[in-house]
Amino acid sequence: MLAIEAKGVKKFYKGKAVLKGVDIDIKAGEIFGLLGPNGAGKTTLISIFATLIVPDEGSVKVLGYDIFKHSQKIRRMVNITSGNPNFPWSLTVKENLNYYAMLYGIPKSSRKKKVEELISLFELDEYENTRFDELSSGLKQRLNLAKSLINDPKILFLDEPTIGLDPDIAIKTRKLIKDIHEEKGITIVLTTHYMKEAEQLCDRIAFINRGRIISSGKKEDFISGEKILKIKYMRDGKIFEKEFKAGEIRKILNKIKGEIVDIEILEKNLEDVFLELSK
Amino acid sequence: MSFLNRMLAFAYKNYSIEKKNMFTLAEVFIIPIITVVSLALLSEFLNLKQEKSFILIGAISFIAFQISQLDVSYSLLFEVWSKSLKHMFVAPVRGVEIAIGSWLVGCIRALLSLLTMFSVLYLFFDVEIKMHGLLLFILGLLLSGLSLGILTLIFLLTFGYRVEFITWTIASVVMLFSGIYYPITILPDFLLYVAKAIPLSYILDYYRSFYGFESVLNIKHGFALLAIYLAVEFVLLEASIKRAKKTGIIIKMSE
Repeated sequence: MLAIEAKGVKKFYKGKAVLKGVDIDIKAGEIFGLLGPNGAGKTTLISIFATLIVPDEGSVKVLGYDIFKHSQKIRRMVNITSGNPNFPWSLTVKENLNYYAMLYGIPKSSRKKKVEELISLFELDEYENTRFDELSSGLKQRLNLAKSLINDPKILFLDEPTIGLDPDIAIKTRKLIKDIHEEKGITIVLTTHYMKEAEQLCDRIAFINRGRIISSGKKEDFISGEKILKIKYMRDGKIFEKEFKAGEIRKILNKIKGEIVDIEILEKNLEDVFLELSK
Repeated sequence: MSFLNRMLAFAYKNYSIEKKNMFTLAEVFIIPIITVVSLALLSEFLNLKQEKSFILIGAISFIAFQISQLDVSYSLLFEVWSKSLKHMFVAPVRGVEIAIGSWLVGCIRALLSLLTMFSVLYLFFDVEIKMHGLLLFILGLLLSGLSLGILTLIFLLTFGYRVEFITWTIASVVMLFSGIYYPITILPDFLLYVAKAIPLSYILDYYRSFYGFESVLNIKHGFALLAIYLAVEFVLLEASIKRAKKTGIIIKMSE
């Protein structure tokens, strides 16, 4: 089953095309990564899926519902977080969660339990009465993720979830995302320009650049796992450098007539793929 | 039930933020007291008799009207200032829920302010509070505030940050034409038409009639205008939310 089905999505701002005809299918239950540099159109695309922006052309179905006709229904079943979490500053952790629970129409009888559950799940108990503007960036991100689960969404949009975070907090955030996905089995659509993040989290990925999807598929399709040996050797006083597939090591050693100076093992990662694709 | 919960979410947010904010508390108690005390003293200095109640009713009305308008505007402004607007609009909320929910807190704040101002004037300046017509007068003030508040929301969603200032200035424009400190009959003819298009003119005219001032407007027309304005504004508010999603202003104001 498809969680998101988009065809020919275009968006223009002041006559300038931000999305130039995006086609994308995202399967239910997967973590799908939208990768691309700043200004590629990632946030615009994810905002269209979350019904925060209306496209100028094309069709988008979220959980089988047309975003033009059933945006209200869709909003009940999705939620969003972003890398720079921002919530009403003077509201405490608990007040913020209560507010968002009410926004999703959660009745008083179950609201209290839901808020307490999330506070406990994200280990915010100690800070439940702390104002948002007094929280550290790590705690703000935890509240951000807690808020995004307030309505038990079927699809969670994570827009650059670790941008601007210290490395240790970014690692913790990625672990939380992985845990949420494993526990709840929800579809996660993630935008990032950190290729490592996509490698760690995503099942499938799409590369987006200048408003177009330039390639998409399973993560493994891009990273073959094949290792490359970069060998430096000396012959007749000169240094030579060649790259070979790691499986051909026996052949290589027979071929090289000279003294091996250095061997480097290279592994193709998403960053290399992205650089190749954006050429 | 969901509709009610979402509506109350905006009341809850405004209440939770405003109770901790000295400025919003000052809006309810300090500024109103200073305003009515200053005007009451000025009236005594000028030896005004009947005109004193005319001016003070105008001042009280303006303050209550503005407070109820401000709360509706704050429903969006608190989110704009916190850059959290997208989290509000990613939830299944409608314009009517935003406006009514936040207005409920505006009503409570306006009522508290009215009570404070009436008490000060009654206790220290011998200003009589006419009970006749009081309920209709207050209802008219609060609904006028709702109407102007929705207009502010429409402007904010259409033009973004750059029109934030109208939250505090739009009520002053209304003040100019609705006879807060003078009867609308002194306005030039063409401005009289503007005055007659403002429901607040009718509300003031109605309540002042109980203080012996000649009534030149029909209160029923004032409420009919309010009903028409509110109906049109609710439709325009929904349309401005849709438009904001088209222009991307919600995302821009969240960055």
